Amino acid sequence: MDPQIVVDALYYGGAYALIALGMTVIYQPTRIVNFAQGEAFVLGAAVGFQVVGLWQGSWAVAILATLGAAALLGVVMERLIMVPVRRSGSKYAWLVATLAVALILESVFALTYPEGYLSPAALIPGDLVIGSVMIAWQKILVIVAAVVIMLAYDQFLRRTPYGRAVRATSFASGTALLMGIPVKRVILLSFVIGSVVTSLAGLLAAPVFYISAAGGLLFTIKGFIAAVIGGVGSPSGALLGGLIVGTLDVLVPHVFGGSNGNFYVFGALVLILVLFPRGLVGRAVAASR
Amino acid sequence: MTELLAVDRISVSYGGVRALTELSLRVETGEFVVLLGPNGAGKSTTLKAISGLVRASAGGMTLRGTDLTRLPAWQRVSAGIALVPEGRQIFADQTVGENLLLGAFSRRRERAELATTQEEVFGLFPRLYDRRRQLAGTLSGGEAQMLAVARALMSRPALLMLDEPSLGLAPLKVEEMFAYLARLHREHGLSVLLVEQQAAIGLRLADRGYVLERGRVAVAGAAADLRDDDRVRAAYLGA
Amino acid sequence: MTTFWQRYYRARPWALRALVVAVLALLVLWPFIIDFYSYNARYYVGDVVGFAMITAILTISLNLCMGYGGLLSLMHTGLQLAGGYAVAAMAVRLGLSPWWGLVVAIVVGAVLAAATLLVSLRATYLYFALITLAANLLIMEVGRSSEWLGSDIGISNIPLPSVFGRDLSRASLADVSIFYWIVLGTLVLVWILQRNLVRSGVGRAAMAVRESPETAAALGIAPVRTKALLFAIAGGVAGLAGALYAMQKGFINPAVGALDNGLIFFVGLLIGGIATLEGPILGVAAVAAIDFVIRDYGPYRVLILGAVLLLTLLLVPRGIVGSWRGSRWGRPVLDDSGEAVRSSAVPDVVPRLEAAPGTVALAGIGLRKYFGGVKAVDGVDLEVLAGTVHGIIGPNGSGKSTTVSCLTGFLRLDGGRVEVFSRPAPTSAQAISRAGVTRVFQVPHLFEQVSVLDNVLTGMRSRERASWVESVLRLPRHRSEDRTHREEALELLAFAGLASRAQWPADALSHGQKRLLEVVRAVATRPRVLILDEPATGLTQDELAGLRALVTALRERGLAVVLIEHNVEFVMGLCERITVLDSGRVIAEGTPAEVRDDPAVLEAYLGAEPEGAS
Repeated sequence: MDPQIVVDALYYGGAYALIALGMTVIYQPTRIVNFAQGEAFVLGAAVGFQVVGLWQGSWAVAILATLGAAALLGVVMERLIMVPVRRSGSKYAWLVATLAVALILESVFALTYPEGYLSPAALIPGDLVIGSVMIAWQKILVIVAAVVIMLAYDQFLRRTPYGRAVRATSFASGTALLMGIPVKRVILLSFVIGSVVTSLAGLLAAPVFYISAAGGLLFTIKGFIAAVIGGVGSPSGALLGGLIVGTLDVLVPHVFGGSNGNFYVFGALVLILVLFPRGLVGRAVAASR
Repeated sequence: MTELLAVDRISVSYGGVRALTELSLRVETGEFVVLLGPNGAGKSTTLKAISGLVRASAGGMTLRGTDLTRLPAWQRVSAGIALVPEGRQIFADQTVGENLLLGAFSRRRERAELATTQEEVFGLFPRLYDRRRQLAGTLSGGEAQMLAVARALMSRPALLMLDEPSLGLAPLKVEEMFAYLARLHREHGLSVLLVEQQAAIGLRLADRGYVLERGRVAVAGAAADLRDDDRVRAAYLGA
Repeated sequence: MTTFWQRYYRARPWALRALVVAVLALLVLWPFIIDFYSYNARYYVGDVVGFAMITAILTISLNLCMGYGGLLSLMHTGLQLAGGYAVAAMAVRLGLSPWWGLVVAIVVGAVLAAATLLVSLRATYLYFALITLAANLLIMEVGRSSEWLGSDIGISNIPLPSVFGRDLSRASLADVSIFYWIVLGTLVLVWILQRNLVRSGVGRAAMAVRESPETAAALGIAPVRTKALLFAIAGGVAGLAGALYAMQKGFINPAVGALDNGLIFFVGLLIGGIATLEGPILGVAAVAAIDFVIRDYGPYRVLILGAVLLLTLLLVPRGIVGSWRGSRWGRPVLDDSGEAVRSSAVPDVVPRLEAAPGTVALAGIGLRKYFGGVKAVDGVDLEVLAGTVHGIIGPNGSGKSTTVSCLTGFLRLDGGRVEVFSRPAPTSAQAISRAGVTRVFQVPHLFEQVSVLDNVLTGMRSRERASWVESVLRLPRHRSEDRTHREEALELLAFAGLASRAQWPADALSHGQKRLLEVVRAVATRPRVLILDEPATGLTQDELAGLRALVTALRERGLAVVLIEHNVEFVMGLCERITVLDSGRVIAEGTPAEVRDDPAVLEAYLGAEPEGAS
């Protein structure tokens, strides 16, 4: 097999995994699937494009700016989504709220960047050459970043008091309150982490992905699929789900060729979901009522 | 004795159904108080209202003179309230050690003292020490109940509240459970507010008791008196 | 000011009816009105109002599955696309009449929806949503990869249908108006379909499954069949909307199926009010109006729509219809008169069982149920005789509810067997219900948004013989059956003292009335054995008397009633026999008096007397 395909599958998978991780982080304590998650991905790409592409600034500035902007986005999303959800008794309030936020952000991005694709110059230009194979350093960076962020989040969950509090809140928020855990603050924190994780993916992937300013929903769908396949439970599930979606994305068109590719991608998805109705990793997704 | 907890005429409703009506009760420092009564009388609701899980629509409560009424549930833990909820509610997907640390979440910055508390708790429940790296979901019912109590103790509460700790435990385990409670109360001077279905056990341990019926206090008095009270028997088995 | 409100409420139904007639008249006459004011009438007739009506048809379909069925579908744009392809293929590729295209579109939509649902039977909620999303993407990919369907470009030059031999042309206002009226007629028909469906047994069954598959099964409703039928009907409607869409636009291409295009349906449905009959229409009208007003702000359109959506959620979280009903102007007028009069006649719908005394109606033999290592039910034997009330009591956690779940098929047994009138009981919960064993749950599971009467009618679902087609078309069999069932339901309600509340939404009842209503609903299934799990919790003395009368009447008719109860006084006064459970075992059985003095019972309730105590 062409090694290029393996690399492509891995870096697509890495990017999708980080979107899925962001969704999982928010889903765990809130039981809300954030349909605006793809917008955080676009935000990262937009900051990179603005700082590195338009202002010719350094990547260090872009990374700092992304962290700041993404944290702010997390707070804004939490307010715009959780306030209506808490006030409304509707079973579908989460769906409306996240879709509405997605719409708003999507059009903000589209209005700010009418030129469309957000592709700054690579952080590490050039290719890694092994024999006849050339791999763009930026793609390797995406893969490494995905793994590092996954591990870091995993360690956060395991080793820090707040990480344990996040897990406790996900498991039973009522009991978490009895432990003295400020559940609402944990939820705000989750939105911030979820937004930052996904934005970083967008920032790093922007030079090698085609990220359109108005394309957030597409990435939401990819991340949603990856998260659900992974079981919406753990960082490892998100990573596995992301890799599966990435592999299907890259491999299937290559094998079957032409535009027929996506047909088999989605067919495979249906198959996975029908065979594993609880996801590949982790426990069943409870109804988010 | 000094007053620890004072609950003053609180009322609670769930979706239009009155669960508590102007209920008052007191717990003195170092006292062991038991709440008795048939199912649906409002015992669990009383504990939930004190811990802040449900809001009282009227009335108020203080702990050591501090007004609790407006505090959210999570701040009442630092104020000194700990509840061992019905059905134990341990975090099954975390280890025994992590469960204990969660119980001490409000004291997470006092690292040194935390270690001491943990040692004390392990001293009380040596079996939990053996299993500290095990997932809490793999514990037996009795061990899980101990973990729930140990976890509550980690916040160094002024008042420990327990909601039917004997539920679903084999009789021997129930005895063991209550032996621990009695020791905590006697040797460590812990103040306890216990909700219990098994009236005799509750009354044997407690200094005082309240019998609830339909969200109100029906009978109150010293445990010794309640033991022989016909009304207590009537409340359970009908006249 | 009471007189003002009284007069207002009396006049309101007429005013609303007049408003509907006025709006319908306006819509019918719209082509003439706009032609008078505008040079661009074709645009306002077809592209603005006609298009909004097609959107409304699709939104009604979404309302059926999401609102009434609780099925979160992300494949509606795909169904729309499939419907569009159907009409394009029939008309352009095969050269057949577009009318045939409409029929094929409905079939294609229904088949796709049903297939998706049947594939995802084991999936719940989010997984179901994701499978529908994948199905949506699949439909788009089929179109994209098929040259016959025009690949990425799609199919254009789709003709309007011909009417009475006249081929309609998009260039003529008259022809566009004729198609507009076709769309309007279709919308009215689809709305009636929705109304008749929701108000029939199918709709009630779907809502029951949505609220609680368990409760539905306890009433003898098969959850899978109900969901499949509802989703297929919704799919057919979506296909129809897609066909109209393709005809209106004159083209169809894969991009029509993109989820982004479906946001408008969600927005319309939620702004209007989900799970309400009028919601989809009002919501789409509101969105279309907003969209029309901001049409000149091009790039800001999506931004404004999103902001409107969030604001709607904050200001009118229950949608236009929900907020209207919650306001003083729109709240339903509830008849407060006739406070709880109980009729004394036992209604005929209560079945009469002529079993010989001593017949065993329900038997559990050696029942065992383990959860992990916990023996929740550990060898329970239980015999309930016809024509008796049998109590099951025991401390918390003694296994009472688990025993009932074992008896009624909600839990798989780890040992032992169940017999209904000496025959082995079926395994599935709904089959046991149909065999005559109906259960009322400990936690109330009323269908809160529908009326008290409809709740009782849901209990009669398993006895309905008219098919859904007969119900939707309101054919004679449906009508006579519906009439009988309504009369029976009212008699039952009268007997329980709830007759004056029949039209109230169930959630307006007091807690005690709700419990009573649940018992009435269970009786409506015409059970031979009725199992009540803590029916007396939270009831007032008066309501307790009502419950007692009901249970006594059932016993006199020869039914077996099983009563799990904590209110010991209530149990002791009503039961012939009582079984006492503790730690999953039977510790005593006998008459109330025997049980009360049994030392084992005293110990279980009051705990072991400490040794050495007097």
